[in-house]
Amino acid sequence: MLSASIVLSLILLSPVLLAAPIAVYWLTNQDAHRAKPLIYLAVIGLAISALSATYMALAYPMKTLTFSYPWITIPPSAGGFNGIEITVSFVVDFLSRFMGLLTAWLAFIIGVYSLEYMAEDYRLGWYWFFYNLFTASMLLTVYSNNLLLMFIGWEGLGISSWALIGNWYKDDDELTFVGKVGDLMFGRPAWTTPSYAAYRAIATIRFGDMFMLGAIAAIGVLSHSLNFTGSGAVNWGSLFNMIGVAGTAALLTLFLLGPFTKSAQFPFNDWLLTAMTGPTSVSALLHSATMVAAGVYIFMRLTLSIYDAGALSAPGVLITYLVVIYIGLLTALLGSLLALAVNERKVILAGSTMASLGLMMGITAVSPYINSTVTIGSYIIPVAVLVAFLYLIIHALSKATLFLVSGHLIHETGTRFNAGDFELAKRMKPAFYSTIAAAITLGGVPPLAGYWIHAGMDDVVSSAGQYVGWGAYALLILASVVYVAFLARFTSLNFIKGERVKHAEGHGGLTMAISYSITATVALATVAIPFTLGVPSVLINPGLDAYVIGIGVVLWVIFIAVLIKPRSESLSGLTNLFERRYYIQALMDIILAGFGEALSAFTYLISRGIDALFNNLLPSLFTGFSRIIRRVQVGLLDQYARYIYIVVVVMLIIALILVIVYG
Amino acid sequence: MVEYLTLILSSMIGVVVVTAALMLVKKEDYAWIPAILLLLPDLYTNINYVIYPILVDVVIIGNILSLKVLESSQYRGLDYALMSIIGLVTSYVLYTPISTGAVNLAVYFGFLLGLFMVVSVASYFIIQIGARPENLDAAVKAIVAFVIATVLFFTGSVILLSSYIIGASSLPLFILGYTLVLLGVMLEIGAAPMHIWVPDVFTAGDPIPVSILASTVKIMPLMVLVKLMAPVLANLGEAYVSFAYWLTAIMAALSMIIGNVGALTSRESARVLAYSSIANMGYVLAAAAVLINESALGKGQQASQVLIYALAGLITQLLVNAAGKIGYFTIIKGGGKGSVYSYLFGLSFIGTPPLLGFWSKLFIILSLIYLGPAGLWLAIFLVANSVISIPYYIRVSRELSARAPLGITLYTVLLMSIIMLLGVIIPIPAMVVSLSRGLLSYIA
Repeated sequence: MLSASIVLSLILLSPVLLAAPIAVYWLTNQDAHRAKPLIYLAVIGLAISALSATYMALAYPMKTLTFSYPWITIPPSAGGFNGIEITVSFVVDFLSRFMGLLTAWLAFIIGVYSLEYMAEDYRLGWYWFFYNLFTASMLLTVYSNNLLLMFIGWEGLGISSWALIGNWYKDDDELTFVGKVGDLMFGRPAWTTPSYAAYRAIATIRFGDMFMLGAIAAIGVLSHSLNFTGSGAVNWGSLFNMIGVAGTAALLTLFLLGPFTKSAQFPFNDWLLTAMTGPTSVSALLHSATMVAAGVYIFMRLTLSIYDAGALSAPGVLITYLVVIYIGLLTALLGSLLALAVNERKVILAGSTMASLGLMMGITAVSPYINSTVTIGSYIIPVAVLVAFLYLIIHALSKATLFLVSGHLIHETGTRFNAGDFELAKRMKPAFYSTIAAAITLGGVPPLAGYWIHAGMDDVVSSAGQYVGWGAYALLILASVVYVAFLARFTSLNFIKGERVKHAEGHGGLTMAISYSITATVALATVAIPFTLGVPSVLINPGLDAYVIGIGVVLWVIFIAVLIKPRSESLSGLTNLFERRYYIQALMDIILAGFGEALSAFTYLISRGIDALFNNLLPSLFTGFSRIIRRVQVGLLDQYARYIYIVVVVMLIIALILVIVYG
Repeated sequence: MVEYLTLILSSMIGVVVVTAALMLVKKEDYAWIPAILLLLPDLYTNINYVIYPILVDVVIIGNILSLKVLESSQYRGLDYALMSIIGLVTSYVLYTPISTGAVNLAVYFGFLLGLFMVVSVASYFIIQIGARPENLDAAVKAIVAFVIATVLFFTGSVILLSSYIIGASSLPLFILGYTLVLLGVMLEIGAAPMHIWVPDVFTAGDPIPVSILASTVKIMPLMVLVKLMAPVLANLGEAYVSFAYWLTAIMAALSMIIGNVGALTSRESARVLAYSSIANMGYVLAAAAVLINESALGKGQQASQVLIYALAGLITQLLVNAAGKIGYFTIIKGGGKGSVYSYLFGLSFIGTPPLLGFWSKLFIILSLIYLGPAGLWLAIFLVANSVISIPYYIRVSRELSARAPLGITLYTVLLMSIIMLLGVIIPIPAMVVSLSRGLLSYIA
């Protein structure tokens, strides 16, 4: 067994190092043809990373392993600070080995897809560098056991996301926009260009990151440790006792603002929808499968860490997690409704990603309310975390497939709006197959993976229903129903009942087709997970419940129905609300921007005031004062004598007053 | 061991005799040589005291050289002798032994008054050197002002004497007396609000006698003030010292601000220099105010620090003011040819390190700060005023920097520049401070 440091170095460094040549080369020579070997080199870097992650997942024993190397040591100080030791610490456990495996392979496959999809791009150096940097950052976040190290990866995700969303920064291709050009919302543009979308993404994410970093600092200072698990892990129990219920709730909320903004929970979700201005491969990797999942992943890791410390039932935790349940499930419902109403392919998928992330967040947050755990190998995992994690895996595979298909469709049909009928399906058989496969896997229809996992979710939420209220269960059911509806609508409007499309050039597409066929097949194959995991009580038993089977059948009915009749007379007002993405963009553009405008106007006013003070007021004051002083000099001696006399008399009077007062 | 007073007196008589002899043989052009030579005996004193006569002599030599720029005057050689006499008397004034006891004090007062009058009367003659009809106006104004100043000073010191004799319960008398004394001194040196004669005299007078007026004549009155108040205040209470300090400090502040602001909009260089003079008198009055505080400070390390810095600042600022004014007025007399020397004087007046003007202001500021809250405001005020003074000094320097000076003008300006540059050699200001420690014993 190779040592952890070697394997981890291969996983984390090979993408970045092998992408450096193309990045540097592209600065001087933008020839895609000549740069081909260097691009292959970058993809090889991804392959090495994927193979190393596989090795780590298979060859290492199935128990929680941590590998720590010394990094920063701050000694105790006289002012009462007890010192802290921050280590470069990695963890290989149930969550990280499989997440790492998933991320690395998806990155590789979508990288291969990009070879063809981005073949004619003008910014290849930029693209490949940040694509690989993203992969490395995501793997760092996944394998990291130390909050600060994780945060470094976290920020790497943010910057890569900004760079890749804004890849076509010249804003010259209408095909890359989100929304219809010329559409207005409260007088502001309702369409988004890549450069603006990149800015919205980074602004929202960074906003959450500020609070997250503050929370990390607080955790580090108060509990003298920043590790999730292992010997030097954070002692959550004593930390929560130290800061009290309100303090715990505040700390956890501030920390969770990072995952909330990164995983596009309501109301921080709008950046994800406009992030679709990036290349489709980017949308597939970042904004469906991995980067946005980082937020939920960290939430799961946090929950696991608190569970291991035995502090999951602390009152502050319970309060915070209750709020997260409802925010998550509400996000799920809102995302699904949004996806049902919009007409752009990638925005539908983005809305569905938002919904899925909401489900993952909400389900993970149920952990403190149900006391059951499962044992896999020598891992002990809370049930809710396991269910959410499995959902993350099937979602990643299915959503990536759907995005890759959309990219190919955009290339073929020349439009980003829903278009394509059965003729297109016949022409693009792999695409049609992949879409159906992904839809039925994710939708929750029996007997595929999604069904068993949704059954698990049902079980989890209903057993916590008496503690968290039945609203959560209602949201879950509603969200699932709408979810399967929009999946069917997407499939239908692009391959069955959509508008007819003129035959496009149809050049190439083989590499792309192979890529998404692979991911679609793997997605279908995930049906094996519930049966091979060895914990039937979590997924199988709930799935065999009659009530749940009934729900499954209803979902099939809805799926088929919408497949046949994807359009209906809209409840126009409500559909408008969904299609406008709940007017959040207007909120940001008018209210937040207006606040900024007011602030800068105020500052300008102050600046003008200072300017006037120093350039006008003070000089004229001094000049006037000076002239008054000089006016005394009249030149006549008798006036001078009189003046001297007056001054002496005045001084004597003052002296007299002083004499009277003090005499 | 010859007594210092005898030395001074003999030098005075000697210089007059030699000059008269030279006049008889019509060699009065060389009268400046005995003037300088017979000035130097005032350096023959004990090491504790010598820093002060050195400063005075440097200024007087500068004055004598600048008089040579003015080719000849109606005094035909006696003007050099007059300068020498002023120098000898000024050197002696600080040495006057302090007496206590009523009768002795009266004699002491009388003696100081006499010294004051010698310099004052001498200045009546000096202002008329080389006077043409248009300069006479200035001369008359100056003389009137000096006469009134002498009267005020006289009256005030008599009242102070009686206050001293009465002792503890004489605050009203003291207030009256001190006010008159201070007003007299201020009128003599030209500090606001008694500054009315300064701008006109400086502008209308011939630059060389004006330079003498601006340099040497300022030294004596301040020293007399400090020497006068030392024994008087030693005997009276806290309240008296407090009043004397605050009155002097406020007058100093007034002088600083009026001088600096008045200079900002003046056009002719001579007028700007007049207001600059008023401001500089503000700075030295601030130092004098600290010295007046002497009896209230008690003994101890902190107290002696304050007084040493105040005294060092006082004499150095007087030196800087004198050197700068002599330099500037000589340049003006020479037709505005100052080249780089004008800028040197300007920067020194502003207080740019490491020139001497910086050190003098630094000593005064330090003494004010160490004095405590009572002096802190004045220190800040002083710094602010230094900043206000920057534009007009640069303006004057620029106006007077046309070409390089020539001949005797050059020598005078060069000597004055060297004085300003002494501050660059760090040990020299340090030495001034350490020697002032010894000098302090002549005031306390």
